Amino acid sequence: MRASTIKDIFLHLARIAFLSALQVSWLFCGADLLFSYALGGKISVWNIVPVYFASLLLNVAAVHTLRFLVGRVILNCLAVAFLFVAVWPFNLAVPLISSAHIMTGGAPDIFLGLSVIIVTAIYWYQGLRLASMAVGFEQCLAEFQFGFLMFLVIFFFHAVAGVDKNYFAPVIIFFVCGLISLFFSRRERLASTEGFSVVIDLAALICVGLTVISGLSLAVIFNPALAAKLYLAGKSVLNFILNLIMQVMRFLAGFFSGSDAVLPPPPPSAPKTPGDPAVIANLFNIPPAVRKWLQMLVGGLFISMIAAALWSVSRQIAESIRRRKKGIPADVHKLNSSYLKNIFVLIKNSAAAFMRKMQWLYIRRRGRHNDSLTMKFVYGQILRWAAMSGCRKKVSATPAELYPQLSFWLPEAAAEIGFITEQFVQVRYGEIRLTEDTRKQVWESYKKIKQRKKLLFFKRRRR
Amino acid sequence: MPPSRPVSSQDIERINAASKKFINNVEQVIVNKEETIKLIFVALLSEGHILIEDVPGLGKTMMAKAATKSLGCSFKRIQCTPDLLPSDITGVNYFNQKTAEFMFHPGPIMANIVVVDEINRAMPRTQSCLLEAMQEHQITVDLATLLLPRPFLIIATQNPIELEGTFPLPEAQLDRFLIRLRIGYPDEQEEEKILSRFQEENPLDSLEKITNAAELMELIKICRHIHVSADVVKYAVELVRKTRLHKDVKLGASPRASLGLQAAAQAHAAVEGRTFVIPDDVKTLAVPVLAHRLFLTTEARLRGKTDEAVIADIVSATAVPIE
Repeated sequence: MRASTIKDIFLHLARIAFLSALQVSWLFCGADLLFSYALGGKISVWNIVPVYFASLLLNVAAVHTLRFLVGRVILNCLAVAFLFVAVWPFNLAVPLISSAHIMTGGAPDIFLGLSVIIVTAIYWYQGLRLASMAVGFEQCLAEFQFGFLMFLVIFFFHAVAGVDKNYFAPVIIFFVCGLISLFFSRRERLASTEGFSVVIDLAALICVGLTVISGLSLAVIFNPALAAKLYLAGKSVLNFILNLIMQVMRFLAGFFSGSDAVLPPPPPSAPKTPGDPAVIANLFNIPPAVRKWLQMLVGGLFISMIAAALWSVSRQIAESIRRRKKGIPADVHKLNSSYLKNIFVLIKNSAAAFMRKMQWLYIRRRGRHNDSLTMKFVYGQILRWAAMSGCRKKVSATPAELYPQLSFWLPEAAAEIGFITEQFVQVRYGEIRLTEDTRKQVWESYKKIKQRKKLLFFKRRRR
Repeated sequence: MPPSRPVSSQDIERINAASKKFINNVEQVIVNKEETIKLIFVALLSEGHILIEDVPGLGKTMMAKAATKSLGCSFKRIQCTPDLLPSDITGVNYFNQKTAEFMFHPGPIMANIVVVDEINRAMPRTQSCLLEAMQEHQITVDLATLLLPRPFLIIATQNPIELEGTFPLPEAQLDRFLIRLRIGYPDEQEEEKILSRFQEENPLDSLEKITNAAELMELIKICRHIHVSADVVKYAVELVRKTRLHKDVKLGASPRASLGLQAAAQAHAAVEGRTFVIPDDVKTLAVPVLAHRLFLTTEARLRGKTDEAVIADIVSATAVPIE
């Protein structure tokens, strides 16, 4: 019995570790693909498939039941087939494809560009889905449906371009894989008690954006030469998108007679002269002292992100052990939130702390007569101090219900807490204005509570 | 929100004093049920109807009678039976042979306070004749609409256990009751106290009137002007809305429930001696005001879930507006 439990916990931990690695690999894979494309790197099946298969191996290892394993293998084969559909015809036709091809505005290149963007989107989508750790066949089914939708888009563009008529073979493979996958998905859905839903969290998307930006900032600080490349990359991506929009508009305009005059064909593109990296690098010349501080700042941010990720994983481990102890089956369930959410919480808390500081400055300078703002700040601050000492409030608790809890937390300042609670209730719900004397008393009570709280901290340390 | 008129501290003191007198008075008959009696007074101040629901012998009718006797308003009692007709409640037009014309003989509904005992023993059509009276404070008899005296309050009692020969109240009727109260069994000491109190005479006979209809109407009007901040309104609405989305609920509380919750919270604040409503008022009243309006799903009922438990779930999951 004991051996079985340990084995299960081990498998669970392995699954969590693999999934964490997997989601990171997905996100970086997508970023790598987009940036290597924008920087004029070579895009080929060999660029994408090895990374994909590495992820596939991790994915397979992460799943520890046979039924899941078979389903995941099929689903991943399906995704690989999909990538072939996206990239294969062009790789046969053009062995070395770079952003220069895109800028010419030629039809095959423009659709290759579109395919790359779609594949990148899929990478990021999958990364985000895995970031939510919803591992089960519901999620696999969602992935399949999304992939199918993307496939239809690519299929449409390929057909419109008419550049390659050999897309039927991968299409057939794709459909066969899809059907098998759906069969397994159906079986799994019958076994599952959870509903099926696809949710893309906006917060998670913001986190990805912030992660990429902070990662790039860090890279620039340690390697200033990269700034020029990034600048070029950004410019290339922007040009590409504008070019793409123009192409699509031209294509749409082609449906209407006489629209050629409205939208003239683009002029033949002049040979591209890349921006002088030395000139651009000068733009990013930062004095050494500032760079040092920036390095510390961004480094600190980066380390806290890693800490958040580790904290998240540790919580997931604790959650898995708790589940195991309570005998909750571990196969189809959503694990705790991923490191992305923790990063988001970290950023949100930092922003809230900053806003509180600003609010405090405002209250001190101008808002002393704004009773509502003052009382909200004072009472909120007391609640935060209590929460930091482990005395957390329930969402449904009213100030009157919180008072005994707060008095228990800081018995030496119970009278002051009672007074502030009373004034807060009057101002907050009764919209009653405080008198000058009461206002002074509130600030005095606030200062007393602050002092007592500090004393409490030292007392506990001594104990 | 009613147009804001500052409620003076004297007004609040009046209400506070009246509530204390009322509670003391009724407690001479009903032992140790201060919270229940306070809720009855809150309902009276909100001009809302009261449904007292409990098993036989716990003092439902006694409580209703004690409350009405304390108020000094006109009072009538209807004992519901399966053969009770709507005209027995509203009144009837009869032909007066002396004057050779039809005359209206008012029914027991024409009173400030009407105690409807064992309401679920009346047939649905008899129960339905109360709908207009409860909501619009008027009755229609033979094309004539008659206004009821103000304040108009119905205190109904029902026994939830006995099912034979009873007709469950429809949702429309339940929704018209502002609050539903349960009395509950007394503990050992309370029961001993009841016995000693009723040993020689019925304390109900010696109850004094603490107020009258005109004064009660004034107090009701004051309560309408108790301040309710926008956040507290939002909190009350959120509670009501959540009853409609709860997985165990087939039919949630109506906007009438929101109105009732706000009015009751205003009255509760006044009884507590405040000129403004706080979230605690809303929380205290959530179960009495909302629970009886919910229609639970069959699965929930089979699982043994009660409407009170659902409201308690909702209250504990709803954030109180603090920051």
